[in-house]
Amino acid sequence: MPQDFRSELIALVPRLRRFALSLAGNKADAADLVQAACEKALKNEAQFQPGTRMDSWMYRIIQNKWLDDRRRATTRGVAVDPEDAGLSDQGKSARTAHDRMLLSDVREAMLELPEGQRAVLSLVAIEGQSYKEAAAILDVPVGTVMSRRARAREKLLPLMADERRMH
Amino acid sequence: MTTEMDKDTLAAFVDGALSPEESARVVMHLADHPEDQAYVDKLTLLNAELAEAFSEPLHEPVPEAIRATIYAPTDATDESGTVVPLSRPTRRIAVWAGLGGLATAAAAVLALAVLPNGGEGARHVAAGVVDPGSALHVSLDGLTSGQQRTLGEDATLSMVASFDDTQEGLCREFHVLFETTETFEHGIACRTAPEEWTVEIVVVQQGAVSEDSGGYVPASGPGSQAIEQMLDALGAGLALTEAEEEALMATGWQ
Repeated sequence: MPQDFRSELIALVPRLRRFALSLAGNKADAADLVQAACEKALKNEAQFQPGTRMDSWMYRIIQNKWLDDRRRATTRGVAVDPEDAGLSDQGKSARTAHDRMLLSDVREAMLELPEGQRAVLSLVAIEGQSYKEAAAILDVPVGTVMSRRARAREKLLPLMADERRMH
Repeated sequence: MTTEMDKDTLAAFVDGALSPEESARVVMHLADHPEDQAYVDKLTLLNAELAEAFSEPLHEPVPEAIRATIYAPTDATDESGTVVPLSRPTRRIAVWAGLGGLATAAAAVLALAVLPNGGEGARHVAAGVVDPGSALHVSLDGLTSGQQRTLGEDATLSMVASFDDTQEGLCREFHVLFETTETFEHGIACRTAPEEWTVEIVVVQQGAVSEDSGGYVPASGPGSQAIEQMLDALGAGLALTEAEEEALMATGWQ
């Protein structure tokens, strides 16, 4: 049983790191978040009910830890250059310069969203969670998820360089 | 013909948050509402860009610190009693880029130099095809890296790492410690045919047993350098994760 728990947890790590990165916006903080969340999960292993969704449980731990850290931080994080933050892929996945700029724009725009909207957008648009699952993870009503999702959408859509990309 | 659909419904459609019936209704609506179709396309692209912007961790191995955290408090006693977790390396950095031919030549010479000589060969790991019934063969097939297993009276085999991007295909690095002769052997075996392992190189170190490390020596010194060079020559990159190894075990290392 404990081995199953650990195996399941380690299989989730790539997705947990993606989630943490989309919340924190830089690799160092994302790594700390995932590390702390895994420690907490192992300590509270008894609270996890086998057969339930471990991803939801872990997303919740990460999100709570992130909010705690943010509340404790005296200053709001300064905008981070993706190159400095280790987010640049050195053009590996870039198809054109425009696309590369667009991805860094997306990252910046994500960082400028209020916490609640950022968490909803990450869970729904990136992690593929349903509105109901996101509501359970964030411990808010489904209606709140939908309104935050709508506000995040209205902020990000105008930033899309659609005139360059859609013909 | 209906009017434009509300944006929340279209967004929920893109997010996969609608029931199949509701989704079907949106699909039919989009067929004759190009403005709404354009909005859906834009949102779909935005979601894809969001996912791509933060996708880097999906293409990276689990960091060693996190792996260590998750497996840290493991009780060292396994069901079999002879298998205990050891640390496993995560990365081999190919420093020979551009010097591949040279590295291969150097490794080949070392391989010849370290072949066990005939006299005590029977008790040692020999370069060449591994006997299918041998404990080494069984271990190569079924022991995950970081674990060890006793071989006979006084020998212990430790699986170190596996690589699947080498010129030889799948290769595994291992140690064998012979306690009575204080011999430490460090080798690489590669999958050369279905159900066949071939030891490509063995480096033998005499008197390598250190008492205060519980019988195990850290991999260093000229012998280990030869192994490193061999791995570089093979083009070995990242070591496979335990999950990847287990998946390969399930398919017979194909």
